[in-house]
Amino acid sequence: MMPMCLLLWTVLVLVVAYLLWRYMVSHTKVYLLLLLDTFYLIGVFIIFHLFKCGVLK
Amino acid sequence: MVRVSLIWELTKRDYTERFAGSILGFLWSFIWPLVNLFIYIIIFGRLMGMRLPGSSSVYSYSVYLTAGLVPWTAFGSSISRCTSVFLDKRNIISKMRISLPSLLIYVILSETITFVITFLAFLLFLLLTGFNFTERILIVPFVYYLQCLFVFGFGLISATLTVFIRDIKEVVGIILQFWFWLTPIVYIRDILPDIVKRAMVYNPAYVIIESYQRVFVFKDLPSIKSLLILSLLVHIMIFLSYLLFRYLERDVRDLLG
Repeated sequence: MMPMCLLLWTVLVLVVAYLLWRYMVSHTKVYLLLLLDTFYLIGVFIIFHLFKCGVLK
Repeated sequence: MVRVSLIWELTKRDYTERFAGSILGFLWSFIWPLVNLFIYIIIFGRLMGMRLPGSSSVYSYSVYLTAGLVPWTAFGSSISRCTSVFLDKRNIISKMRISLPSLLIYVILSETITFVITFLAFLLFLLLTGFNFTERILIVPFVYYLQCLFVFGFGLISATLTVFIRDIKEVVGIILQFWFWLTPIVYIRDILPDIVKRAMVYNPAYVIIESYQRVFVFKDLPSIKSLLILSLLVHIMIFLSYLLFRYLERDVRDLLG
């Protein structure tokens, strides 16, 4: 369950990152990608936290 | 404009040029990590008989040392090389209009190749000694990714400032020396005085290195709270370093051009 959550979260973020990269203007996309990356890593560590608590097995 | 093909080409060249002209060539990239692992595992574990307190395993200290030293080597080398990358690649910068932060990415990628080879050899050793691989090991690539982001943020500040003040390269070298000995890699955290132990949570390298040690030595997940805080701080650092870079970019290009 936990590896599947990680995979789905990564794919979702990659799709959003691609859309940002494709359709935003130069410097705005850098800041937005940075923000997206912050959410991505926080999401990843929350998934591991849920795994540690036993919510995700 | 970030050019992925250019980053890849620089990474490839950086890696192949290291062993250019040697008989064994690319094989050296496997020999060096194996020699290092041999020293950590056989010399420290078998010959010197060093153990972690409370552990009877012959290899406990060797695994502790390797789990800290391999990521630190990638961390230290990447920061050190990123600091001087604008000066080292000034011939490319003056001839082509490239995104300067992408030069840091190639350095980090090149160091990542060495890290991955060494770490795979380490994992093979753990497999042979009966280490129980569970899902917690999946956190390692994310810890390494966080480490790379930290290097990028720190490296962008130091690389930008080094163009104006060359001494920064030497200062960063000295900081890395102190940083290494202030991080529990060759010794354990418990031997430190209480005040230093408490201050250790403010050392980002400690949060990163301790995460590897928790997974491979203590067979547990790292402190998620520390990793969450560090993730947030690292992204703020990248944001600020990018602002600084954008502010000074024209001067950097003029000085290097």
